[in-house]
Amino acid sequence: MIRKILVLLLAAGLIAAGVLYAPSISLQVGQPVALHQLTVKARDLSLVCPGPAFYSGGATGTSIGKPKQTGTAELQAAWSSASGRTLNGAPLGSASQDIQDRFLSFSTSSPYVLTVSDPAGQATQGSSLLTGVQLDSVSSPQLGGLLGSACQRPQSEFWIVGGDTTTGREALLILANSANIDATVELDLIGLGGALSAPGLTGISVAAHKVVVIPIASLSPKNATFSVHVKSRGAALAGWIQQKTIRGLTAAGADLIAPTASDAKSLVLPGFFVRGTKDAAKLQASSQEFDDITNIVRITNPGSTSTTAVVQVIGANAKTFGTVLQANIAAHSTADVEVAGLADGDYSIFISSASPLLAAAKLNRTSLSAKQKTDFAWLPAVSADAGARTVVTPKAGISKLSIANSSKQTAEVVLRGGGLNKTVQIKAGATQTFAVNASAIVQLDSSQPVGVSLVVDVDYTIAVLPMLEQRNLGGQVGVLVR
Amino acid sequence: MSSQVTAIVVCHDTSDYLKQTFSGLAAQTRAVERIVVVNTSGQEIEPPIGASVISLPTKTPLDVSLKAATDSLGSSPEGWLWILHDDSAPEANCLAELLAAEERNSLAAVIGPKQVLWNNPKVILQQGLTLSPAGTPVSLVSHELDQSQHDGMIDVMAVGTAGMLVKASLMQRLGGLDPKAPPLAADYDFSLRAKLAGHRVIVAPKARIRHAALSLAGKRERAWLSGSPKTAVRKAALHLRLAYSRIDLALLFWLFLPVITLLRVLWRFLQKRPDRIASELAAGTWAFFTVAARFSSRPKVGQRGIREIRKSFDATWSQVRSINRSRGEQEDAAQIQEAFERGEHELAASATGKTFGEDRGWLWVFTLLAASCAFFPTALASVGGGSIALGQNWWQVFARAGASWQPIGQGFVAPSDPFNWVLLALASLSPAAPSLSVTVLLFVAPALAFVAAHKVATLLTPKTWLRTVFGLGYALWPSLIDARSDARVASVVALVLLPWFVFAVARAAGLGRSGSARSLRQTWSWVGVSGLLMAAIGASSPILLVALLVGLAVVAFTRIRRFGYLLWIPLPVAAIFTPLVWFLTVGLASPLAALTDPGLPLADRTGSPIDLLLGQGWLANTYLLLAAFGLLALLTKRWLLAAVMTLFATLLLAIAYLHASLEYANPVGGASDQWINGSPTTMLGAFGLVVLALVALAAEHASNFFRKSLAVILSAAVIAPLFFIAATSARNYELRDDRVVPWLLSAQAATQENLQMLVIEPSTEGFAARWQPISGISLEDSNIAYRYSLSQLNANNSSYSSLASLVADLVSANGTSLAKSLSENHVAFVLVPPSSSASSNDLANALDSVAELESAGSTEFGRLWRVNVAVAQAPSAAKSPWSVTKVVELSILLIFVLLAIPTGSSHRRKSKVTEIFIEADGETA
Repeated sequence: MIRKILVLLLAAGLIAAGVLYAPSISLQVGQPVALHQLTVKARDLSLVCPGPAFYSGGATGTSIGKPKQTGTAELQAAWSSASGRTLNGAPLGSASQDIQDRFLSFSTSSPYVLTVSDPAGQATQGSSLLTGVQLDSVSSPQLGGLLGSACQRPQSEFWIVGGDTTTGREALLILANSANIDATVELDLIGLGGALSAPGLTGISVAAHKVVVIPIASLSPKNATFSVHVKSRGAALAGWIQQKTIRGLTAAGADLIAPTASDAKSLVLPGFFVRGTKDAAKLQASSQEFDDITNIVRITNPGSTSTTAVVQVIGANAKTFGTVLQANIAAHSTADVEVAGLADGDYSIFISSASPLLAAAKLNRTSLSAKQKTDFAWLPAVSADAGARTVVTPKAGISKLSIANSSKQTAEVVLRGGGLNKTVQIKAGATQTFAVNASAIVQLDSSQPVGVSLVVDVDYTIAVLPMLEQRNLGGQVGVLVR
Repeated sequence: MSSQVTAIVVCHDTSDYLKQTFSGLAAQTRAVERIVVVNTSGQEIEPPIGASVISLPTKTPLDVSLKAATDSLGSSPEGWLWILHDDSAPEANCLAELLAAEERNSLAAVIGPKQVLWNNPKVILQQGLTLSPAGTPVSLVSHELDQSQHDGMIDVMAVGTAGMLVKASLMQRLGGLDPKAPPLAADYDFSLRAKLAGHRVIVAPKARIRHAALSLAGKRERAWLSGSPKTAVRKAALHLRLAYSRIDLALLFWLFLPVITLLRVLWRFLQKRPDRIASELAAGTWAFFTVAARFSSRPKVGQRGIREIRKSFDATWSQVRSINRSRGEQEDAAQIQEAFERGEHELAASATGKTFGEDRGWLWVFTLLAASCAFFPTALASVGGGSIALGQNWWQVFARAGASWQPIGQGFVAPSDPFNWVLLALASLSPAAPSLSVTVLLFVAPALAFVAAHKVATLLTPKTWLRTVFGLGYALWPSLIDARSDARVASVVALVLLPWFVFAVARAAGLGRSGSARSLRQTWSWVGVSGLLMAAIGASSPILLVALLVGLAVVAFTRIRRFGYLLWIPLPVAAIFTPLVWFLTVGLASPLAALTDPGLPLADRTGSPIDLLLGQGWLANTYLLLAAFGLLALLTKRWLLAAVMTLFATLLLAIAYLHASLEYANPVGGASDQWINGSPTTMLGAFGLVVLALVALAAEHASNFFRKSLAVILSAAVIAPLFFIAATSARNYELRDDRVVPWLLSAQAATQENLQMLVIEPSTEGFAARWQPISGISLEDSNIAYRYSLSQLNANNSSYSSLASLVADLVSANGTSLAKSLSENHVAFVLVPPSSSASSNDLANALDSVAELESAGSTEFGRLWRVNVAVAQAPSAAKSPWSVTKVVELSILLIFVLLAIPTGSSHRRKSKVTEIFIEADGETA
């Protein structure tokens, strides 16, 4: 029996040791498959500018009818001409015509489409090939503020983080189809409590060369916190939310909210310029109507697990120290994080989390000395890119370039044009601001991926224009045939 | 007429048999007048006094020896010739009785004695010969106790030459034995010619001769019979068929002889007589190529007479069946007797326990089915996890089994997965809707596993409760339940069949409580079953095959007496794996790829051994108590067996860990599954079976108190939780129809099957495009060879580069004209699988803007576009489902199916075994 017990103990011990301390083994069987790397001509780069502001309710704001574009927007654009390459431009739905100028500056009363035709497919797409911005400064009882936007490459799917449909607020979703085929749109509205269900979120038809404006209040009334996920089938679309605020009978700000960068664990929002904090405090103390002139960061978690977002607001110099905030964002929901207590100054926002997030920030501009006391701007997260890029500045107001280095290395940024001719070092996780001339072309070349936004101030109204590297699929395409 | 008798003794050996033959000759009550000894032994012999000796070379055939003897008697010999072999010793009155018979029967010119066994003269060896209606030689009486029951039989078709008394004049007139007739047909031939000459051929039952039949017993040199005894028998049959059938029938027989030989080979397999295969082939070949000699042996006259003779003397079919059955039973009885003498005796019914029904096994089967209600087949196909639909009909599945051409891309020449044979077997259960069999299998898998494991338990214990625990433990083992939940069809098949394989091998090897004395037929039948099961399990889980081969080797070397049988078990699996292993090893230099899990690649648990064993939640881990209890078997009196089993269980666990650590290339998978770890599921299942066997061993040899305690603990702490987990396990696949493409394409495929559909998916590095026929890809189209060839194909094959360019142009939607490229690549449809990703939506919108594509809507398989320009169909020449490898694989599998099918005699023996032993014991006593 003793021998049997010994065998039992030995077997048990060996098995336990094997189970617990088995050496780690790693061996691959077979060969990895190398993709076919093919150089293909990309589709011609086309940008859509939203045009002037939409007014709903007619002259009094109380009529029933579709929102209509009224007035004109100032559009500035630049492109890189070359042999065989042409720029075509036209209001949406109109016949396009060749444009010879390298720098464009004109007014438009409707959405405008710019397309660089490159039959040889030689051009590298991005802002260096074509970029444009537009501003519409409006001041009427129904709508007042500075509406600014970068011209946008149509996409099949995008997120717009921002908007408010509570009393006195209006959010209009603008969808522009510059393609030759109709599009069918499906919307997801993600609010505080998750996805919102409402009739009319699917099957929205956007005819070719047309614009469709959807009041989000018709889908989700009295909702202060949401983001909109636009999914288009048939044709790619450009889209914005035109957001306005009315306090009593006074227009209290407006902006065009552009799509945010794709969801990521690390986001950058340059151009968070805080101004008039003392005036804002006075207004907030005077009336509850001004409660919403606080600055916020809106974060959407599109994933299926909740996550904690770390929001770092970084100032551009030693006087603007910034702050760090944390917020738990539930799965598939949107939350607002108030960014309070900041001194006036130039900031950028860096957001990090364990799960991919989407974000935008709402920046208020308050001045008791101005004719219009308040305005706001929504800063979407932007994609960080390295290399050469081009920024055009509007012809009105004061423009400042905000550059945020979201990489982990110091970025060397060369700035040329618009009154700038310098090379600067921007440390990892830092931000810098540069004033630039109006109606100018600024060339920027960064050694590291950086996020860039253009902050425009026109008579105490503000707009933040995200600078995007927009390109269609082309160049090197990897294909695996299986 | 002179009654002078000359004895001709043909001597081929100088053994004791010859001495006894001479003694018998000398002791005759009616002495012979003359003795002629023809010595072909090449050695000196001591002939009887007065005998004349003719020495001939050693390889001199019988007919030449007799000719030499008759020639020595002069030109016109008188009287009778009495032919004796050196192994045929006549009894003292033999010649007297033969001559007496001649006197009683006028016209008798050929008279044969009653041949009895050399060592047991009570038993008749031969008493006249005849032919079956099919023309094969039949001994009318053989191995029957001589009770004078056949003594009334006088006239026969033929008699053997041993002890034959023949008129010398007749012998001279007929020219002796026909030299062209094979040795065992010569006596038939001579007798028939004697009959045609107007003489009678009779048997003298009272004339007895002991005959050792050394030639047929294989105790002479092979040259004596020009081959083995079995070959000689078959040659004789073929010669007689060709020489004594009607000429037209004989010609037809010769023309179809190769086919007939092939069918007879298959029949031999069905008879479980693989030992006769070589004889059939050798004799068939011999007869086919020596047909001229056979035809020249045909009697020149008297065809009508032959018909009359055969009409009168042929054995009836019932006689032939009776003779064959009797012979089979004699062989079985002899083999069982031999097994019994080796100590391999069957247990009494009380020791083997109750049957499955008596154990209330069906109650548990229905309980397991009830617990599987979530898996009840409410639709044809199981789609999701590791399963997609099978082909639409049996033929489609058959076409892929063993095929050398795959409908992947623009055709891919490589072996099919061996697993396709398993799918074919499943499809054969529901040929009109092959997918249904898979769906039903997933539903009934635990119940089937219970039945199988219960069967294995009968090898270990007669106790009902222990068998039930064993069966339930295996049926509810987490590996099997998880595999079923994820629709891992291959793993489920392997785990369900594994206990049957263990049982079959145990029977073939004579292991276990119920695996004991077997006849050859039954042993071969179990070898056939084992071979097929090993092929099915190996094809379903190559890594498990490694363990099975190790286990089989251990069994074969411990049961060395059965080695000759067990050796054949891996043949089917070797046949179906050889083409793939060759392709992977020689073609791709990746031999380990042969261990790839077949079917749809699906990630499984991986990590350290403890990670593999532990489930989610404590309840799911209670099954590990079984392993702890199993170790207690080391304390029983069967501790050595338990130690071997423990070692084997450890080996299984180690292989599971190794396999789960290997990363197999999976370019056909998603972006995150480009490398996929081996699945340890089947190895863990096998581990479970061994653990349960250890538990059974421990309980079987434990005290009553321990046994009862164990029963309570196992039921409450292991089986109940496992049952709860199994009953509440989720079905991670959906039940739906068996289409693999949208309706639109199903209809199109019926008329334009050679068009391709391009399936494009965005990936992290770009795009992945899959070429497939518009009829879709079914489960049987999964191909391991293709998985491992993709890197070479993408790197070197121009059609893959061409398709990649097409995909790049499609996804960039850059306005390039794609009509030519689409046509050259035979792409008639483009599909983007359903996905909520932005890149997938971008892709869809890009395709929307391609002028050559026209949206065909959104289907359950994704968004579909139709190519609106003319597309050339792919050539269909290479689509034959047949190939040499397939024929070989199919033949071997069919042979094993024939071997596995139980035949009548093996059934019959079941009821007679007890009587046989009683008889044997009685005789021994």
